[in-house]
Amino acid sequence: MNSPSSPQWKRSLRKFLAGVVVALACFFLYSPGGFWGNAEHFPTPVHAGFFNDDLELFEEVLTLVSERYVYAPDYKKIFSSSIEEMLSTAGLENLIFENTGSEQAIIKGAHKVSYHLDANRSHDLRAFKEVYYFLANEFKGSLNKKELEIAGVTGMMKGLDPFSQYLDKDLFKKSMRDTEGRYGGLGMVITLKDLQLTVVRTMKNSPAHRARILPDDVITRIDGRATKGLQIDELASLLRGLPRTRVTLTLFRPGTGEEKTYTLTRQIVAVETVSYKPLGRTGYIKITSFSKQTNKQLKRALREGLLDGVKSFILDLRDNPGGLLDQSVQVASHFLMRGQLVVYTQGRGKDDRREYKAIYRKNFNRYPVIVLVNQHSASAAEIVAGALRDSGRALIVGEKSYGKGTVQTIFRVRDGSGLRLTTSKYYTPSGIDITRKKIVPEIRIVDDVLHQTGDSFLAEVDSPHKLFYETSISLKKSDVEKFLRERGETVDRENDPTVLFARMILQDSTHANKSYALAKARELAANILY
Amino acid sequence: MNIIDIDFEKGIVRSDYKVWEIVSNNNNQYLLLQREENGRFHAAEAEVRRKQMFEVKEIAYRGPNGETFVFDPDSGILKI
Repeated sequence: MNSPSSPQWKRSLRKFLAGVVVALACFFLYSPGGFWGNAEHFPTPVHAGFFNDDLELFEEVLTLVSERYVYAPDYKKIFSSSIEEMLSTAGLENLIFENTGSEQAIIKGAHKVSYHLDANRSHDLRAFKEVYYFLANEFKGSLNKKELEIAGVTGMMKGLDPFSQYLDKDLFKKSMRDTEGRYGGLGMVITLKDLQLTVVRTMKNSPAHRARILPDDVITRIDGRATKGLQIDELASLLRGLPRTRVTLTLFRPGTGEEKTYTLTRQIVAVETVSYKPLGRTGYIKITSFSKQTNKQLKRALREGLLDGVKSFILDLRDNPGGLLDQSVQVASHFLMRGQLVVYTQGRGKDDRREYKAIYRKNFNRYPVIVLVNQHSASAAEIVAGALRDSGRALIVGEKSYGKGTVQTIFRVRDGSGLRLTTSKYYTPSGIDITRKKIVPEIRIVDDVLHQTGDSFLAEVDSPHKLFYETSISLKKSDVEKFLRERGETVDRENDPTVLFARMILQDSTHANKSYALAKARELAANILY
Repeated sequence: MNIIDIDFEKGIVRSDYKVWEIVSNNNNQYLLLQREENGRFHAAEAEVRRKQMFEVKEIAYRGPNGETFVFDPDSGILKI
C-alpha cells in the first residue's frame, strides 16, 4: 500500500482533486435557467446551493470595477457609497451613527459595529463585510441578504460616475431591447413640459401625423390611464408596443381648448434623424440623433444642398443626445480630409487607445461650415463638433455642450443581471477630454431669457487651454435677436436667432477655414456688443 | 452594446468600439465572441436578431450541438 508521502499516492490525490474540479465545473455549466428567454442557448449558471453565496455578486462586480473601470478605482469612495446605500435600504431612522474622524460606528439598540475605510481594497472589503453582516443580522426578517447586497452593488456604481449603473435582470433585458424594429410606435417626439406630456413634433407619414396630432398637443390619457405623475420613460413605454397593436390617446389642444380621443395603430417608424432646408446660399442641416440611418440620411441632405447650389452649411447639433459612434465618425468624415483624426478613445491602460479617422475621399471639406451646439448636445454630437473644431474646419456657435465623453461596456454577471460600466473616454483630436472640458463654442450665445449667464465661463477652464477659450465671444441671445431684427431678419420658431446669426456669418463666405468665419463673427459681434 | 456589422465569412463582429472574433456560431442567431487586447482576452455573447452583445466572465452560451465553453482571460475561450 502507498504511504501518503509516496509519489504514487500524490499522483492519485492529484487525479482525484482534478476529477472533483471537473465534476464541479460540469455541475455549474449544465445548470438550467435562461436570461434571453431561450434557455437552450444562453442559460444562466445557477448556484449549487451548498456553498455560502453571500456577497458573491458584490465581489464579482468589485473585480470588474477593479479591472475595467476607466480610472483606478477610489476604494474609499466606492465602499463608502456602498455602505451608505445599504444603510438607506435598511432604513436610516432605525440607526444611529457615530463619526470620530478616523472611525465610523453604526448603532442599533444595544448593538454596534465600528469600521474605518482606508482606500485599500481588501481592507475596505473586510470593513464593508462587517457592516453588511451587522445589518443582515439586525434587520433579519424585514430585509434579506440579497436586497442588502444589491444595495451595496448599486451604491458601488453610484460611487463611480453618473453613467455606470447596476442593471437588475429586468433592466438588463430592457437594455438589450430590440433595435431591429420589433417595437412599433406612433411617430411622435414627446417631452414633459410643465409636468405635462406634450407633443414636440410628429414624423411624416407616421400614425400620429396621419391623425393630425399637432405640436404642443398635451396627451392627458393613454389607454384610459392618466399621464399625470408618470415619468417620461414610463410614458414612452406605454406609447410603444408591437406593430399593428392599438393605443387610445386623449389629447388636449391648448390653442382651441378642445379635448379629443384618438385610437391609433402602432407601426414601425423609420426615424428621420436628419432634416435639410436651404437658407439662401447656405444649407441648414439638423441632426437630431445618431441612429443607424443617420449617415444615409445626411448624404441625401448634402445631395439636396448641391442641387440647391448652396455654398456653405450649418450643421445643427443642438438637443442631439448622441447615439452610434460609427455614425458620428461618418458624419464628420463628410467635412474632413480622408484619414484625418475624428476622435480617439482611451481606456485605463496606455495601450488601450483606439483612433477613428475620416473615411471619405470625395466630400465637402471645401465648404465653410458652422456647427451649432447647446447644453443638450452630447456624446456622438460632441464628437462631431470636437473633430470639426479641432481640424480648424468649422466654427462652433451656441452654448457649451453637455459633456458626455465616456464609453460604457455592458457586462452580464453570473446571476443574469448586468452592469453598465464606464471603460474608456473620448478625446477630441487635440486631446481634449469631452467629459471634463465639454465642447466650448467660439461664439457663445447665452440664453439670457432663461437666465443662463456665462459669467463663470472663463473661470471654469484650465490654464493649458485658456488661450483657446479666451478667443471666445459671449453674446446675449436677446441682443443677437435685436440685432437681427434691426437688419430686417424675421426671427421665429423656424428661424431662431442662433441659426440666423450663423447664416449671416457664412454669407458670401468661400473659405473652408474657421479663422475667416471667426473674423466675420467678430465683425458682426462688434455691432452687437453695445 | 450595439453590433455594427457581422461578417460571417471572415468570422468577425464589429461592435461600437471593438472588433471581435466569432468563436462559435449557433445558427446565425447566437454568437460567442472573443477579442485579445494587450495579451488578455475578453469574451462576449451576442444575439444577432437584436444586434446586441455584452461581455461576460462566465459563458452561458451553448453551441449548435449543445457544446459548452469556458473562458479564461489568459488563454481565451476553450471548448469543453
